[in-house]
Amino acid sequence: MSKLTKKDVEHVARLSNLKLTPQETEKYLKQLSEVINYVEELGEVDTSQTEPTSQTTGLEDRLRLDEVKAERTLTKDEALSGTDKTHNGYFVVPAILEERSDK
Amino acid sequence: MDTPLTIKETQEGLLKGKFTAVGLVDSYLERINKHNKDLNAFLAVCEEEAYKKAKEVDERIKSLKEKAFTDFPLLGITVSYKDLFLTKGVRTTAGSKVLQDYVPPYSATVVERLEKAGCIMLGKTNCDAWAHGASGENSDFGPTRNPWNKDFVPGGSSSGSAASVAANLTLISTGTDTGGSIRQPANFCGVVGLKPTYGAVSRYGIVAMGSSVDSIGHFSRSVEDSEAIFNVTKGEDGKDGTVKDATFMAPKAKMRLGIPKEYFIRDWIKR
Repeated sequence: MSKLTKKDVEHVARLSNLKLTPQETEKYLKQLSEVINYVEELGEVDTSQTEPTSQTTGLEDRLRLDEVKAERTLTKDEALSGTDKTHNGYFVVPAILEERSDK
Repeated sequence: MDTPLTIKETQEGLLKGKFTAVGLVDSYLERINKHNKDLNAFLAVCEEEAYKKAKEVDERIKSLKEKAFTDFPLLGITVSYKDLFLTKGVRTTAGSKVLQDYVPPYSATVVERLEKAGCIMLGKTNCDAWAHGASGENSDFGPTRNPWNKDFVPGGSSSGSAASVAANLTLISTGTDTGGSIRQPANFCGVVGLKPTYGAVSRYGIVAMGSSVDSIGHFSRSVEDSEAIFNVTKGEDGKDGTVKDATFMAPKAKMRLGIPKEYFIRDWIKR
């Protein structure tokens, strides 16, 4: 059974940018402790004979040649088909940069 | 006409001339038109494409008889796709109004493979928006309802897919499962759902939820059918680097099945 302290709750609240009243800190101290104790029940399972699994396929660092293949390439019209705002074969989007005012 | 319940029944019926693929599409569309306003399982119905493909299927069977099925293991099988699967030329929304006008310029690998195996696409099915949900109620296009009892949820996020198979609006359907999105609606709707091992089926062309855990699977009315679909969808496609060709089989060890008692003991909550 782990024991959370008020300090832990305040720390988590600060990480989450939450402002808690002293009453709330008390309330969540109890609730969070319950959650953690609940998860700790998993510790009862004997895993000494179990191999850790982090993925199932065993694949590592799959690389492919950097080449153009028609089957995974869209034509310009296909690429632009998702918008009705085009100009000379380009997407039209709102400007995100403004001209400098100090020039 | 009663719609057939398995792939075998469908293909035997087509071969023996009990019904035609066009006739099948007629009955499924009739059922969709009748029931979809209550169930909201389909977000798009592809009548034109379905009839076009059905005519091709009928011609193929007429000229080749049983040989028509060689290389086309799912010939004549009606399918609906969860609206997370990109379908070239057919609107794909992921259950969100953000994509309500999106018509993909290419199809997902799974869609391509099923079409190539002879499937007839009937339409796109409702789901929790971006697959974020577990009840089917979280779609921007309204909740899907459980065909067994419309006051109940069908489960999610592959809600319309499970409901469409359960209500016989299609024979098979596709789904995605990141944290239960095939298994749970299959359970709620009483159909067979398969969530393959991660890396068995390509995620290419499917709107992602959690790329490192998304598993691409399907719904059917029998385990045998589920295997037949998996044999078409699985395997490397050169487009999803996490997919690996492998032999998939049940483990040799004796399996022990667990049943969560909380779901089966009525007064559990009182204790």
